Amino acid sequence: MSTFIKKYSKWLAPIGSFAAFLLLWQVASLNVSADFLPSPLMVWDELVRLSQTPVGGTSLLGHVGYSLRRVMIAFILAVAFGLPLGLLMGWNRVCDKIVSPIFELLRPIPPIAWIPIAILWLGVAEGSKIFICFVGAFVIMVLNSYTGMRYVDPLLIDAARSFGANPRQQFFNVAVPACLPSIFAGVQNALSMAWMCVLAAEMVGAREGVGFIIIQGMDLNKSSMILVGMILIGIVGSLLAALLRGAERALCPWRSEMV
Amino acid sequence: MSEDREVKIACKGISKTFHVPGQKKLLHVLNSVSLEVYKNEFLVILGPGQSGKTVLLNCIAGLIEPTQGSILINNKPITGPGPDRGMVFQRYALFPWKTVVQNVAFGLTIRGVPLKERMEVAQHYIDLVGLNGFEKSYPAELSGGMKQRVGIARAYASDPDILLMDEPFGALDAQTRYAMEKELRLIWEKEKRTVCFVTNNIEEAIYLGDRVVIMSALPGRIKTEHNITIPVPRAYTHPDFLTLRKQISEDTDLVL
Amino acid sequence: MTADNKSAYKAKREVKVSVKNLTKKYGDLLVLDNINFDIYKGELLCIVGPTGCGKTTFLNCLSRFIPITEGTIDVDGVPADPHIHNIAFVFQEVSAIPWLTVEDNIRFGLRIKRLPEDEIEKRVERMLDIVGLTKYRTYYPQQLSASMEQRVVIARNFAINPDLLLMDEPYGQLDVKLRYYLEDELMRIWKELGSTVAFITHNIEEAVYLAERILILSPKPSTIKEEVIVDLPHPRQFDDPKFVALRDYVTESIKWW
Repeated sequence: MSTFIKKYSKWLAPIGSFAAFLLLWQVASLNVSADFLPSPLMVWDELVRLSQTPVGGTSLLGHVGYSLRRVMIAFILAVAFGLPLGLLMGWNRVCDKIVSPIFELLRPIPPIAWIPIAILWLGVAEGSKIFICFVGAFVIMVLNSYTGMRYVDPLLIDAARSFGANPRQQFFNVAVPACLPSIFAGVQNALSMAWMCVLAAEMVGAREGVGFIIIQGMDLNKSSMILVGMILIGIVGSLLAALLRGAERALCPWRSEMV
Repeated sequence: MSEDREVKIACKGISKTFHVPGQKKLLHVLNSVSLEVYKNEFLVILGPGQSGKTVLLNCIAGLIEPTQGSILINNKPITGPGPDRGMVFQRYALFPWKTVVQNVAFGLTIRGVPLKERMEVAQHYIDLVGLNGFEKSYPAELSGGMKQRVGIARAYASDPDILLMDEPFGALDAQTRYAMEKELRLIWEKEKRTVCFVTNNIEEAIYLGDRVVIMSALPGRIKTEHNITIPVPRAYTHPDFLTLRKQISEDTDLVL
Repeated sequence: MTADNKSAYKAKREVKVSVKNLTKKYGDLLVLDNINFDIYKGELLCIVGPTGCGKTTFLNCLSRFIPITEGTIDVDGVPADPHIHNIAFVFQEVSAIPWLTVEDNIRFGLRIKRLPEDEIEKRVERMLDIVGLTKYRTYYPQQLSASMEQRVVIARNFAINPDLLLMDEPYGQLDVKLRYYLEDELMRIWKELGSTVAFITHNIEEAVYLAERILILSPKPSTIKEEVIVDLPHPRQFDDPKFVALRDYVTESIKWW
């Protein structure tokens, strides 16, 4: 018996905790109305139903696709602009002194607060939604790259200098690779943030997307639909995170050794 | 005997002061240090824990600028770090994302030497330091002694005239240290370069050095020097070694 | 080094710590193999071994940081128990508490042991005096040099009169002259307080300088390879032929297996 437990202990814990969670949920839902908290079974039925009939003219997978598209575009833009900016700010004191004050001012403003101005500038079409996700991801990307760069071990830079590396070589050959773990952390956090913002973005008059499913559920008074939407957000979000972690392990083999 | 040898490094009146953040006083680290290092000499700079010896080495390396004084390498003033000086660091300073062979070839990569040639040169030095078979390993997989061998190979591989070593065995335990000292001496005998070796360990200084220069506590200046005439290979417990050790111990400062 | 030597040494001594059949396995990997030895009350024992002999594992077992696979450790005849016995450590990495002053650092351990206030104050004064840090009592560790910080840790550990003080290369990174100075200080404290000290090091000269008795560990899986009594008077000189002979002997013992 104990060898069985040892062998499968890696799986027993998560399965066990999920089972316990579902059980608790089921028990809780029995004591309240279906509108307040639908049971796990009801949510499952709803999921099956939604996957068979289109919502607002789009299939369930289609909705996920729309959300993903917005997030990916926002994410790629955030990395493309945020990463170089963060690295440069971290590397170059002058750049830091110029950009930091403005950045520090904009940073505490949550992506949601950008919604009205996004609508004003970009209308209610795709642009504003992507913009919201972009803002959240961008800030995170800059912060992580900046911190990563500031904390590069000066000894490594000195070592590079002692071999005659010029500042460009020091930056690209040493500083940036040294930051890679922080950069990856930034990328992962930025993607998570973009995905989290997509709901808020889609509340701005969307007709497709996972956020839309949640809004529909709210309008139609179907809690099970709301929950399906939320669960979808959770599942896709964790899959994206797992993908990125896999990419990090593949691209930073020396780091896996150290961990 | 040393007068007719070529002077590789000439330091004249080197002084260095630092501003300590949060304090009004300046920290005087080096106080008019003058030193000459001859071609292919193994010079050891010995001093207590805080004596400015690392700062002096960094000045010679061109990583720091002295507040006063001049440093001539091959009779030319230095303008910063250069490929004529290779450095070995106490904390190894290996690039963790590079394999052993990539680390060793670093100096050549910076200079734009083509891949094939780089790898050949790197392999030669990896063999020299006895790390054959570990070319594709990452620094994290190596022990302290092995890491430092990579450091030494890396410094050698960029083909400098001068090797600067900053307490390279300071982080190793006593027995690994003895083993590395023996190896370094053997490596150096095979491929001689001018070496400036900084340490706080008297045994190490006597074992390795042709000449030992003793620095005082802060502000650092040169107190005295000893020519080591004990024939190689030296034995740590030989009576001559021990006598010299006692002498040098009396010459070094105690810094609490 | 002779049998007479050893029995003469042990005859007058009381056993403080008794280690029997100490074995440690990590899965299938045998690190410590049936280690048997005693530590006598008030002794300064040095344990040396080759690089990679499982010294850290050995220490962690002695200090009960990790569970032992087999074997027993007894203090004063009863199994070692953190509630009754004090086993103190000084590691190579200095661990003075950064938010306490020097004197508060020393008080810290004493307070935990819930000693009466006047006894605490007496001991703090005494320890400050012995390590020569009375002038620095209100300083914080960051304001001190590495060796001074290390002395604070030593003072703190000696102050609680531990049953056993384990030291793991506390002076490893310091320069040789400073090391000898601190070792002299250590011996002064040890003599004055009569503490039982087990000092673990890779540095054979250090062991011969400090120890009354040296235990030599073999490479992994480690056992006690040999036991050497150091019968030299203090102060010991590293260039004394007897010292050198002993040092060479221990060095050879470690190298050869």
